[in-house]
Amino acid sequence: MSLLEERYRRVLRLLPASYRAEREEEMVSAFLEGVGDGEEPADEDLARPNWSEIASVAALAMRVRLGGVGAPPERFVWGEGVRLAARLGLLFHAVLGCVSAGGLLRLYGVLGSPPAAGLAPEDIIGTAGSVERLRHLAESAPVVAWVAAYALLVYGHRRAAKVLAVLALLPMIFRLAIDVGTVVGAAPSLADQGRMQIRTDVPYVLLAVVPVLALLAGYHRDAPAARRPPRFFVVPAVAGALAAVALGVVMATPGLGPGIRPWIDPGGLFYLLLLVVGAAYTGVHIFAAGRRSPCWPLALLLLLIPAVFTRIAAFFSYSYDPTAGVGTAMLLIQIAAALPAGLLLVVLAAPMMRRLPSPDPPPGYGADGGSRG
Amino acid sequence: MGSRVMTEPAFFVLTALVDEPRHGYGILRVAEELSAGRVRLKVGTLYGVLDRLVAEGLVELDHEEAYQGRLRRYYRLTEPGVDALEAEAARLASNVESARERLRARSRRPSTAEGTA
Repeated sequence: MSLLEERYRRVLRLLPASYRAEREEEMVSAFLEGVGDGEEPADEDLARPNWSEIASVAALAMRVRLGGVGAPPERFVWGEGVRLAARLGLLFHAVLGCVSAGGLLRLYGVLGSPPAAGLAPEDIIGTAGSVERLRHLAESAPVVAWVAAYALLVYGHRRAAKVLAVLALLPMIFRLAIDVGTVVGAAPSLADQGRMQIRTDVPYVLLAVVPVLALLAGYHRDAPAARRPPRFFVVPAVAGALAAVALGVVMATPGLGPGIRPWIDPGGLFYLLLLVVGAAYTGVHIFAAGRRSPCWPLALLLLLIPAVFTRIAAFFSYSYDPTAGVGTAMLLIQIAAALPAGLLLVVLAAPMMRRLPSPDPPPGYGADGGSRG
Repeated sequence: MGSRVMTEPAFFVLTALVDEPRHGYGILRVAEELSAGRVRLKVGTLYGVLDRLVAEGLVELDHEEAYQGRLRRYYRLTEPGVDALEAEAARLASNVESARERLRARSRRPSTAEGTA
C-alpha cells in the first residue's frame, strides 16, 4: 500500500465503520485513479490528499453521521438531536437579542422612556449622525442577527440562517482574537489580567459557537425540510419581553443578594433554560411514554457542555471578588448539579438509543441492493 | 428528486450515466468533460450525491469488477432517473430559451444609450 493510499484511508476513518465497510474500497479506487490518472507523485512524502478532498470526506461523514431524510433511525436521531440543539441554542440567543433590542429601543427613545438611571442616552450612543452613534449601531447589529437567524431557521431558510448566525458570532470571535493578541504583546502584569479576561470570555464564546456549529453541521441538504408554524416566530419576542420583566424585577428586589447573580448572567440564564427544558422533558418521559424521544436528552447533553464551562469560568472570576459570598457557593451547586443532570439525560436517552436498529449499509448495497457482478 | 431543484453535481452525475454504466472515477471524469472542466467533483462529494440518487431510486448498482486489484462499482440510470433528468433538462432549456428570447428582443431594439447617458 502506497503512502498516499494509507493517508487517504486514514481520512476515510472520519466515516462511520458500517459506511466504510461498504464504500471504502471503491472510494479509495476512485481517489487513486483520479490522482494524475493513477500516477502518484514521485516524492512519497509529498503524496497526501489535498484539503478539498479531505473537506469533501468530512462533509460526507457529517451528513452520514447526522442523518436526515432516509437515514437509518440511529443516525436520524443523532441528526435530529443536533438540529434541536441548534434550534434551542439559537432560540436562547434570539431571546437575549430581544431583551437587548428592547433596551436599545428604549435607549434610542423609540420604545417607552430612556432608562432613568446612569448616563444620559447621548453619552452612550452619541448624538444623531455622529461617529459614536454609527459605531454603537454597528456594535448592536449582532443582536438583530441572532433574532433574524432564528426566524429564518424556523421559516425554513437554512442557508440565510447559517450566514446570519456566523455573522452574529464573528464579533465575539474577533474580540477574543484581540484579547489573545493583547496578551501576547503585553507586559507580564497586563498579560495576567488579559489571560483572566480570556478565561472568562472563552466559555461565553463557546455558548454561541456550539449552537452555530450544530446549525452548520446538522442542517445539511438531507435534513428534513420543516417550516414551523407562525407561533414559533413570536416565541423569542414574548420570551424576551418576559425575561426582561423578570430580570428587571429580580434586580430591583432588595435583599436577594449575591446568590441570585449566578442565575442572571447569560451563562446562568442558559443553564436555567436547560434545567427547565430538561425537567419538562423528564416529566413528558415519565408521564407520556408515547411522546418520548431520545433527541431531547441528546440536544440537552450537547448544550450542557458549554453551559457548565460558563459556570466554571464564573466560579474562577467570583473567587477574585470578596463580595461574591453566597454567589460562589451557588456556582459550586450549579457545577455539581451538572453531573447528576447529565447522568439523568444519559439514563433517559440510552435505552431508547439501544432499541434503535443499527445502521444498514449505504442505500442500494445490502443483500438485495442491486446486482453484484 | 422530489420537489427540490436538482443540484448541479447531481445533474452531471445523471448525465454521465445516460449512455452506459460507469464507476466512480469514470463518473468524475465524464462530469468534468461535460462541464468543460468547470465541475470537478471530489470523491466525498460524488459519493454523497450517489447516496442520495440511489436512495431516491434514480440510480442503481449495475455490477462490480476488480481492475488492477481494485474494486470498481458501476452505476446505471434507472427509468425514474431518466425521467428526472429529462424534466431537469427541460427546465434548464426553458430557462435558456427565456434568456435568449429577451436577448434577441434587446438586440432588435434601437439603441437608447444616448438617451440614457
